[in-house]
Amino acid sequence: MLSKDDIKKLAQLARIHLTEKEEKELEKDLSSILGYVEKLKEVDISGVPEMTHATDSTNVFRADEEIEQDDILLREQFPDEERGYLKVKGIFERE
Amino acid sequence: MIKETIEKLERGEVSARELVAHYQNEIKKKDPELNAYREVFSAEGGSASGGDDPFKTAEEIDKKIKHGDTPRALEGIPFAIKDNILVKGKLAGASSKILEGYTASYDATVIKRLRDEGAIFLGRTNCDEFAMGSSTENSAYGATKNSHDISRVPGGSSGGSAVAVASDMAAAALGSDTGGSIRQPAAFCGVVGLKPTYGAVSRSGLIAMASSLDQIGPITKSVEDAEIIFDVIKGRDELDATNLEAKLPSGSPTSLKTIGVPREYFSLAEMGKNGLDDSVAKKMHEAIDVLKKNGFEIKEVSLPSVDYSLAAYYIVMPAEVSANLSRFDGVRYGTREEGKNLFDVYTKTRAKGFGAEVRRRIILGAYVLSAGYYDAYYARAQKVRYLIRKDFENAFKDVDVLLTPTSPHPAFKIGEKTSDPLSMYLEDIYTVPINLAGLPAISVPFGSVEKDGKNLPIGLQLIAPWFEEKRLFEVGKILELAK
Repeated sequence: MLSKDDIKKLAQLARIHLTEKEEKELEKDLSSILGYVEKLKEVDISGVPEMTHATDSTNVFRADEEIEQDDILLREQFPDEERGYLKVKGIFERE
Repeated sequence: MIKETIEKLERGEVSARELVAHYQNEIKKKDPELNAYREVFSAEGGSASGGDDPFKTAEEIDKKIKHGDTPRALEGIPFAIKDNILVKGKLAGASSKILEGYTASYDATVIKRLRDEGAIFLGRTNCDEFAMGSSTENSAYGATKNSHDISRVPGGSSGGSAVAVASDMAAAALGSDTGGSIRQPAAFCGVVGLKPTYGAVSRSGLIAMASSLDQIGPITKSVEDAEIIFDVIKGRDELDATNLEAKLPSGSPTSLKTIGVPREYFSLAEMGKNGLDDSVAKKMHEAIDVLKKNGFEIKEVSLPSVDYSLAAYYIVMPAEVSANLSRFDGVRYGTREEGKNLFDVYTKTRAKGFGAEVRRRIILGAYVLSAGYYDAYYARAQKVRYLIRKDFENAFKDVDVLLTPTSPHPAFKIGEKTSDPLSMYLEDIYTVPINLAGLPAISVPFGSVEKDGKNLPIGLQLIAPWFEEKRLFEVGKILELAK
């Protein structure tokens, strides 16, 4: 049901590098899962709304107030930092 | 048993220190074989800023009790916490390599609430990676074994928490349940597991899997313990916008009269169902007799759309997974793999950090949400989900509580289902519909069956209408007493 190119494209969208062996396995597994979910096509869904929430709740808001929280532990988690700032590779690359 | 333990503490028959020592001793004896714990908390701990030291907390509690303070709801009760719930200053990993070395910078709301009522934290427990699995075999740190038969799985994904409670390595535990991850391991291990109504318990500080389905709940030795813990952790929290104040139960507990048995799960006429293990069918039959003797009327009800639950779940859940897990990219925390550019860093970090099942679900989610497929998959699944919820609404017009098996069979063998993802997914066939509908359900142990010379526990599931957890506790106690 899914082609090898589909898997390659999806892996790129999901930002996961796959080896060729992993691509093959996924092709097989996903096709089997998608085959199973095909049974949803038997259900008559005409006029049925999409259920977007488990309970009938509306938005729950709180006042937009500052909450004091120390961020020492949070900063300790940075994989790379410079002068206390989180360091990442550039988003734009020079030609 | 929480109540009895607290009474003993109050009378000075036992100290909180002794309780911690007891459980640590049991862990030392049993856990090298069972692998329920990922980390046992101590003063030294592997964690960045120390945080909880169970002995220190216990000493403070013992001092308060000596002083004559009234014990709080969970005074001195040692807990095991699933590795996807944050405890400030402690490592938290959801049993995934991608979070290796990550230390929680805040307490989950449930942890704060337990702490405020005097609970002690023993350690964090093993689970399927990011709670994705039904056997705890998907943990990046090895499988957990069922204490009733170590060649079998404990169920999952909260397998470590269930084993910790079942083998007396903790007084109680917390787990999380997205499609059965509290109830199915509770059933396999012979303990009680509660999945509260969606929105009854705050999800703040739970490492998210599928946000419209996830709930935190207790795994305990008795129904009463589950009730005590639920009463502590439930309720409105500003840090979770989907969290609601539970409305007051509609009736007095003694007004419960009818128990429904969905024919799609268990046919009263055939006293079983295709695909349901005979041993489980027999237990269902016994439970029905017990409830009849207690004055309940048993009614067969129909949930026509429930047959499509698993298919709808395997669209909705991976869609939410693929969005939720996009945050694990090696940028802000966890492990980072180096690459020639940012894209390369992402793809390498995620390839190395995520296990096979997690990748499968992320990529499946990316597919069902991608342009051109949204209506065919996601929108259709959400509509079927609406029909499933309607089925339950209709059923609860006729009955007060529903009774079903928790799992079609007792615990299976380690390795039995790892090669075929779909066969593992089918494990959750009886539990998934409840998450899709957002209902509360409890798994209560109901005896055991002998297989290969070992006694394997069987669990039965009770389902109540939204925010009617009280009904589960009442009927659950009757089933518990009968065994």
